[in-house]
Amino acid sequence: MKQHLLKIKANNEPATMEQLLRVVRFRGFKVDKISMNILPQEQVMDIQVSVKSKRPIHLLENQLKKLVDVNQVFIEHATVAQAHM
Amino acid sequence: MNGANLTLEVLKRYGVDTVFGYPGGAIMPLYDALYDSEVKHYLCRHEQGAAFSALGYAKASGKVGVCFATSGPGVTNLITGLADATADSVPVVAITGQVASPLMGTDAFQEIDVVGLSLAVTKHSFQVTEIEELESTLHKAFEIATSGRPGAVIVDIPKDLQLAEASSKPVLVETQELPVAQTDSIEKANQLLRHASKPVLYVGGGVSLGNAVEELRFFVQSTGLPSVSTLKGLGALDPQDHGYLGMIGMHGTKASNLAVQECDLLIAVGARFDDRVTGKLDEFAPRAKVIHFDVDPAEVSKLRPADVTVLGDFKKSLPKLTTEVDFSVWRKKCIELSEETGFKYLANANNPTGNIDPTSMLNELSQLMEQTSVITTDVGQHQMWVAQHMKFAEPRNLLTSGALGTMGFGLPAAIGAQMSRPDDCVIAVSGDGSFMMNVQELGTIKRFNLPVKILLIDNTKLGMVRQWQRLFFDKRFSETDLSDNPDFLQLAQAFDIQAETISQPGEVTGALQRMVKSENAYLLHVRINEDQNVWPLVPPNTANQAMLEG
Ligand SMILES: Cc1ncc(C[n+]2csc(CCOP(=O)(O)OP(=O)(O)O)c2C)c(N)n1
Repeated sequence: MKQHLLKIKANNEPATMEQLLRVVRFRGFKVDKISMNILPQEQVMDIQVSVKSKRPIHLLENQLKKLVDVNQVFIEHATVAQAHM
Repeated sequence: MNGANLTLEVLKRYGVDTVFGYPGGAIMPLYDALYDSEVKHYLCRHEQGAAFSALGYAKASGKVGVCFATSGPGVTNLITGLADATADSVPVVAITGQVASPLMGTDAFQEIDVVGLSLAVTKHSFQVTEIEELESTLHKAFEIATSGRPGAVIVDIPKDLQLAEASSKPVLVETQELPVAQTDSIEKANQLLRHASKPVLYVGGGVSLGNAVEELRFFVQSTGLPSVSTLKGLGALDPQDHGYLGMIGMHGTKASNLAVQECDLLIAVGARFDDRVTGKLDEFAPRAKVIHFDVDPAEVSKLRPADVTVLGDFKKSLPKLTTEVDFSVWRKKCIELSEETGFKYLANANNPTGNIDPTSMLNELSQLMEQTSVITTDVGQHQMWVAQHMKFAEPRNLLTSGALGTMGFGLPAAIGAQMSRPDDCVIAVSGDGSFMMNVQELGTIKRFNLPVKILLIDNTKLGMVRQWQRLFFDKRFSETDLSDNPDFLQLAQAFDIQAETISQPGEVTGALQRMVKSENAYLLHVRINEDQNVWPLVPPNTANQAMLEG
């Protein structure tokens, strides 16, 4: 089980967060932590999600990048998740 | 002009002259605008029928399919068709009426959360909240449905916005060109090809979506590579090429499965290593390096890691894949395998068994029909028989629900195909189970006097499920009996459709001829024995060389 921090820039649309979380769940990842801010100048969502899974992160990264309202996905770092998590 | 008129204007700008749909309260303004519009609306008898007709229309013609539905149950009925379109990457735009804005979010009559409902099964979903955004949203919907890997897009328009005053303004829509593959990726692919001695080309539905059939065939012709196809790829490879070994996977030919298991290089083009193709993934093509051509990065190394990835427009990348290496020994071996193990057909005229053999029948139909004919299928044994025993000159001549495997697809898809290709013969090959799933669309055939042909292969069973029960569930035939089917001739008659039933092998040829020559709709009801099974079959989660052969 690995933990990853995803930094995402997305269009500020009503369904963006919902779609993002749906894809995270469907592709076999669990959310540990999440934060979202709207960057005021650009009307862009700045999202940080910490996820964990046994699956390789590129599978999620590729699926997230396909979403119409997602503009950028960065994978910050990977750590081995705590056993109890 | 109101929002509804503007919607139709935008459709016309995209060259849409045909839409399929079903009206209701929340979409009445749009139907009112249709009343004197040039856009021709075809009333289906169920929204699922409308969605599949739009899909069939799109797939048979290469255009975008468009369907309309009202809020609530209209949308839920549409959803299966949209899921099917997205799964098989077919461009469909669905326009749905929503309850008026002030009522939204109040559980109003026929209100449903369309965006929430559809996110999982569409490429994208829009809900228009301001009339000023209607036009640009529609443009985006067409762009998204058709670009990259195509799919279904919903545009949900509240009733008050359909009625609101709107004006058309020029909109700038960013169009997404397909990326062009990087030169070094193609160089690496060429390098692998130079060092291979037993390469096989594995072709999926993406080749036709990328309009790259010609480029693909040129590559095969100039290199002599043996090739195999997925269900969705059928028609992309030249069926006359002896090196083309047929369909791969669970019901693939013995030659294609064995060749892939033995190959040392697998070149996947627009294919996605689906479990119905690979069998047990860990044991799929165990000695092969993989080159993966695709446009969707998410499909690469999703299931089988690729050694070389070539991402981008096939039309541009395939011509750069070249080799001087002589593969003729390997090619010859594959061809011999194919000839030894290929399907053998018992001529229908002198089949002494007393039972019609559906494989011979479909093979005969394939030879007898015009090469421009369109075949649609439903899902089950008959679908696999079509895939195994018919040949398709072009991918757009076979419409089948591949990724989702949706029963009920065939009849409405045939209706859509007939609308987009009025001069071509369209034949829906169906099973007695599947046919009943959208049988109401016979009403659409009647209303528009469509010359759609239906070849109904009736085994009085849910055949494919029963075959699995026989093989893997100890012959416990739970809920797969349909021996109380309706009288299909009377059913056809009720819709003014000419029909005949056959049950003897000797009747096959004449009946097929009568069907394809008929100028009107025609139902050919073929009784077959309930114990006809699809062979070969690779049991689930088994390596592809371990096929059962009946
Ligand atoms: C909508 C839907 N429901 C259930 C299934 C599962 N299923 C797959 S094949 C099949 C039997 C199909 O029977 P029929 O249409 O008569 O075709 P046959 O296999 O007999 O040729 C069923 C129930 C499905 N694919 N789609």
